Amino acid sequence: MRIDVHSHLVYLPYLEYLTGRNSLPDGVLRDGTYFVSCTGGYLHASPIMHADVDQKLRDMDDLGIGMSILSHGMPGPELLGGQLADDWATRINDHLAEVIQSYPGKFQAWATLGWGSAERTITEIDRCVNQLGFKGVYLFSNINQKTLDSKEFWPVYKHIEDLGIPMDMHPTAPINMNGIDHRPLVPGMAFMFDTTLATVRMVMSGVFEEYPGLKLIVPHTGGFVPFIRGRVGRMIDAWTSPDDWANLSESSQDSFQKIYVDTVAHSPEALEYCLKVYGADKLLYGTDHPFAHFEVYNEMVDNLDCSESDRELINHGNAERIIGL
Amino acid sequence: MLIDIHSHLVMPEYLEYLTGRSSLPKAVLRGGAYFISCNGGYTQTSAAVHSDVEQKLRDMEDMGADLAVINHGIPGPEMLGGEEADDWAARMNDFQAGVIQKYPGKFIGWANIGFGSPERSIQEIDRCINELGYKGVQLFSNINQKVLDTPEFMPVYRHIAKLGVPINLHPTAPMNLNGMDLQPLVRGMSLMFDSTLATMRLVMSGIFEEEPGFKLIVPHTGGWVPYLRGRVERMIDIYEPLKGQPKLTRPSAESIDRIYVDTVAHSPETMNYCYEMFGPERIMFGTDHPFMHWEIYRDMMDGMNCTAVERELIYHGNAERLLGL
Repeated sequence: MRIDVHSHLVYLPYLEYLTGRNSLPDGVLRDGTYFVSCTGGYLHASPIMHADVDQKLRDMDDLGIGMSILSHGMPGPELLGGQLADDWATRINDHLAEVIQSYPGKFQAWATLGWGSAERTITEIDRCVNQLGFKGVYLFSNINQKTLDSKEFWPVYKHIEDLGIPMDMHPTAPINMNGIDHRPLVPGMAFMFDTTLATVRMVMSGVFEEYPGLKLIVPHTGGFVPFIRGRVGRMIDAWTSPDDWANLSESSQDSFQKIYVDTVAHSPEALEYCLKVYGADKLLYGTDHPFAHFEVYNEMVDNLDCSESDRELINHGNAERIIGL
Repeated sequence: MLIDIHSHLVMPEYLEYLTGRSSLPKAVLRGGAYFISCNGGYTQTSAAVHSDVEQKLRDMEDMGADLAVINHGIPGPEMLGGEEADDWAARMNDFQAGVIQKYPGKFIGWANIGFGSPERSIQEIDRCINELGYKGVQLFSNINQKVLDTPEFMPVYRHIAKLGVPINLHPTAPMNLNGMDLQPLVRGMSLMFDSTLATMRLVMSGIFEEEPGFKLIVPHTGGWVPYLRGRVERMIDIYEPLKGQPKLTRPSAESIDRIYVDTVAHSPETMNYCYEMFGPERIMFGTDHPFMHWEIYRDMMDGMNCTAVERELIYHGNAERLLGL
């Protein structure tokens, strides 16, 4: 049995709504695919099949996935800004809740956040957790081109810590896109850099020291975080922060060590590396379904050099523990 | 025998010249250090020690390095553009040649390239190799904010490949700096991103396939190339190139397998990762002297789990073979 913590399902009425807008984010529907222009120069493609629950269920069957934790993924509602963002976050969460209800036992969901205001975001998290039964929240790698360490977001992190629920990070329209004009470089490089930068900035900001109960899953074998943490950590530890930044009281490595990663792995070697650096109880099975290559991760996990009980943790045990399933 | 292939020595006359400029790149001298504003919003700091050969020799002795392959490092002459760039590249190469001559057997140099014009760049490379005794070429991760695979630069790489000498890639004022306003993120993240992006774009340009003699050293344990490669490879291999870009005839992994990395490692774990992925023949000792933490790499490598023969390759054998010493 596998639990897929990284599985996308878009909400078509939202994509349709975006086609009617004349400022970013705006979309066009061409040949069965919604192309959404996002802030920051990024163009996201959502084929209509990204909203196809039945196809997802068939693919889950093929891959031996008992349950998928759904997320809307890009384009997120936070790209809209303001009240619209919070309104659409609510609608997207209602849609996810409907899908969960329609297929009992097959799905859970990451709560979508609007970030229009911290208050409404917190209210919506409470609604998702208390009324819709969601077990965690979705956190894009930047909020409409603002970095995640911005102090305005901290009340939300505090609330998430109070609830004891995990955050699942995901790339969005990246902050850095220069020289990334070729297709393979966008999801291949720019996304990974965005989640890495987001994580490193959160570490530097001290948010993990301030809210030690925060649980953060960094997808795609942690972006580059597991590989770069030594270098950037040395520099963080040697650094005197400016006035509006706290100095960490412990080594930055303590914060880096707290993150979880999923198995949407760059390569078998990268996954083995995460196992060595973080241990089996920090890895969660995920596929990035329905995006290209969702089918390659089973083999990587099955061939991972670990005990069968560790493999069970990665396939479902960690998700059950961290998400509280 | 220990050879440090990653060792910087700036030319004071160049920094002085930059203090007189009113457009980028330009420098100010404050408290004994030059602060150089570069294109792309990056500021480089060059302390007096960065041009101190005697201090470098003492540090080499401390770490047991017999020979250092020096390069000027940031700011490179190519930032000036046009004839000025080529003029200053020639002056830097003369300066390095003077240092090499003054301390027999202690130094060799990476040739600086101005990229003012491909013709003069090629002439200067020939002069360095044939007249000044240089064994390889220094290449920045972007040329004045242009990506390395820009068509005008390709003849220069082809020429270097035909000469059979290696290219030492090095980060420069990065193309992407958004969200990296804090010191540790600049050297810790953006520089690594730039050399990783540069490497991937060179792979996609087809230069490795076109020129079997193309030899590329990617510093800092390859940036993130070793960790990320599988993901980007999968995407490159299924992708239809943009107009004017070649389609690789072989899997992109074959190009990436050909890179060399140095030991300016993010951590011992990343070093081991490179060792397992590329093998000991593709790792070369380097320190990034005199930049922060240059002293930790000798211990890191002494502690690496490999055979004595392999360590000799990493410490000098590979550099001797690649540079033809």
